[in-house]
Amino acid sequence: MSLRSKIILLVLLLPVSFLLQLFVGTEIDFQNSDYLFLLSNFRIPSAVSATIAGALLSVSGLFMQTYFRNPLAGPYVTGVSAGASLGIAILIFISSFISFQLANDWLVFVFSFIGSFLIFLLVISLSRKLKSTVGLLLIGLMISGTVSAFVELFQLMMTNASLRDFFMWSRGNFYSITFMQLWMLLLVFIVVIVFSIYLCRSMDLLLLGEDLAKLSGINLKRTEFLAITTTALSAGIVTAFCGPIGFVGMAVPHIARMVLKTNFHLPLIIGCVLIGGIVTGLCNALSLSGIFGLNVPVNIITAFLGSPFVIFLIIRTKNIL
Amino acid sequence: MKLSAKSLSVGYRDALVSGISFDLEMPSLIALTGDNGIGKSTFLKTLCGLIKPQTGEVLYDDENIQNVSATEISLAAIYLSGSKKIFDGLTIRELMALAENKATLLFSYELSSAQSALIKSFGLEQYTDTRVSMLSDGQYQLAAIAFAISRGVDFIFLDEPFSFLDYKNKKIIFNLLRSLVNKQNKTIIFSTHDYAYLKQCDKIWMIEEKAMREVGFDDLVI
Repeated sequence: MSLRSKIILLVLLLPVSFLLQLFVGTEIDFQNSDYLFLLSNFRIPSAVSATIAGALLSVSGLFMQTYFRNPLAGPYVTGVSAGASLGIAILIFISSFISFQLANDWLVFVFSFIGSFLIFLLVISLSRKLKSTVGLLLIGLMISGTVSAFVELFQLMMTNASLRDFFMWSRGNFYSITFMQLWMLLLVFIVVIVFSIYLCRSMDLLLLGEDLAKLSGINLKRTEFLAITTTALSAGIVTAFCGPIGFVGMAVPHIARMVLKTNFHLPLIIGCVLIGGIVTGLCNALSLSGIFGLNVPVNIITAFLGSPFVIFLIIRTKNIL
Repeated sequence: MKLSAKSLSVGYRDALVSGISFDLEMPSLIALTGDNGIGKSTFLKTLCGLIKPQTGEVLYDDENIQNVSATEISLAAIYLSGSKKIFDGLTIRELMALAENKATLLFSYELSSAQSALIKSFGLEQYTDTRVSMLSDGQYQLAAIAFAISRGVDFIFLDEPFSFLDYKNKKIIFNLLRSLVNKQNKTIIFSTHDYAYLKQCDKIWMIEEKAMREVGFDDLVI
C-alpha cells in the first residue's frame, strides 16, 4: 500500500473513532431532548477535544523524539506535562488567596504553557550534559518527581475548594471541557500545525544530527526555539484543559513510523495528527462506554494500553537504549 | 573556489594544533595523518565552521568563514564524522533525499539517476529501503560516503572514510575520490591511518607535535 493510500485510510478511520465517541454507551434517540442535550453539550465537545488533544500530544512527541534524537522521548516522560501541572497548581494556589476570579481559561493556559516551556528548557540544558537515551529519561523522571513534590506541597497549602478544583482537573478527562476551552484548543491546534509545517524541513535535516543539520544550512537556534514553543504549546494546553494524559505523545509517533514507513516529517505530522486523534478518540470512547461499570478517567486507559506498547517497543528494537 | 587558512590554531579548550597556514586554489586530494587524538577531526571540523578557530582564520574565497552564512557554507562544504552511526533509523533512500538538501517539504523521494548509479556501484541497491542501523559497519560507511558525495559541494572533509572498508571497497572509494577531484574539480581532505593509497594523493598533511606540515610519501615512517 502506498503512503498516500495509507493516509487516505487513516482519514477514513478518523470519523469512525469520532462517531464511536458520540454514540458508545448511550441509547440513541434523536427524538429525546435529553439525549440531544447530552450529545451537543457533552459528547460532541468531548469527542472534539479528545481528537485534538491526541493530535497535539502526538505532534509534540514527534518533535521531541527528533529534537532529542531519542525514540523514547515524549511530553509525559520528559516531565514537560508535569511542568504544565506545576503551572496550574501554582495558579490554583494563588487564586485561593486572591478574592477576585483569577482562574479563567486563558490564565490556566498561560500558566500551563509557561510551566511546560520552563521545564522543557531545564530538561534540555540538563540533557546536554549527558548525551544518552537513558540519561534523558532519568532526568525526565527526576524532574517529574521534583515537580510532583512541589505540586503536593501546594496541595497541602490549598484551601478545600481549591483542592477539589485541582483534584478534579488532575484526573484527566475530556467531558468537562467548556466551549470556550474548545475554541482555544482549536486555535492552538491551528497555530501548532502552521509551526509544524514550517519546521518540517529543519526537522528532517535534524535527523542527520546537529553537525550535519548545521552544514545543511538550518538555523539551529531558531529551529530549537520554535520546536520548544510548539511542544510546550501542545503539552501545555492539553494538560491545562484535559488533564495529564500519558503515553499518547510517546507511542503515537512510533505507530505513525511503523504504519507509514517513513522518517520524513510532513507525512509523519499528518500521520501523528490522524493516528493521535484516532487512538485518543478510541481511548475516550472506551472511557465513555461504561464497560468497566464506571466512568474510567482516560489517562488510566492510555496508561493501560500505552505502557505495554512502550515495553513492546523497547524489546522489538533492541538497540533502542 | 579557494580554501585557505591563516595562522590557524584549532582545539576545544586548548589549542591542539597551531600555526596552520595553507592556500588551496586547485582541486586536490589530500590525506591527513597523525596519531590518535592529535586533532585531525578537530581540524576538519574547524575547516567547515563546526568549531570556531582558537586563533587565526579559515577563508573561503578570501572571505572569513565566520562571516559566511550557514546557507552558503552548506553549498560549499560537507564534513562526515568517521566512527559513530549517526543516521540511526534513516534508510539509504531518506539519506539520499536529505543529501540533496533542496528546500522542499519531503513527502516521499525517488533517487536521482546519479544517486542510483552511486548506490549501485557500492553494491547497496538492494538495501535502499533498509535502515542504515541494520547495515554492517562497512556498508554504513559506504552509505555515509554516498551521502557526502551526493551533496555535490566543492569541499568534502571525510573523517577516516576507510576504517571499516574491505580491500575491494577501499579501492572503489579511493578511485571514486580520485575521479571526483580530477573530473569534477572537488577538493577532498580525508584523515586516515591507512598508507595504502597515500602515494596517489596530491598532498599528505601530517599533524605532529601540535603542528601540521606537508610531507612526502617517503618521509612517512612505515
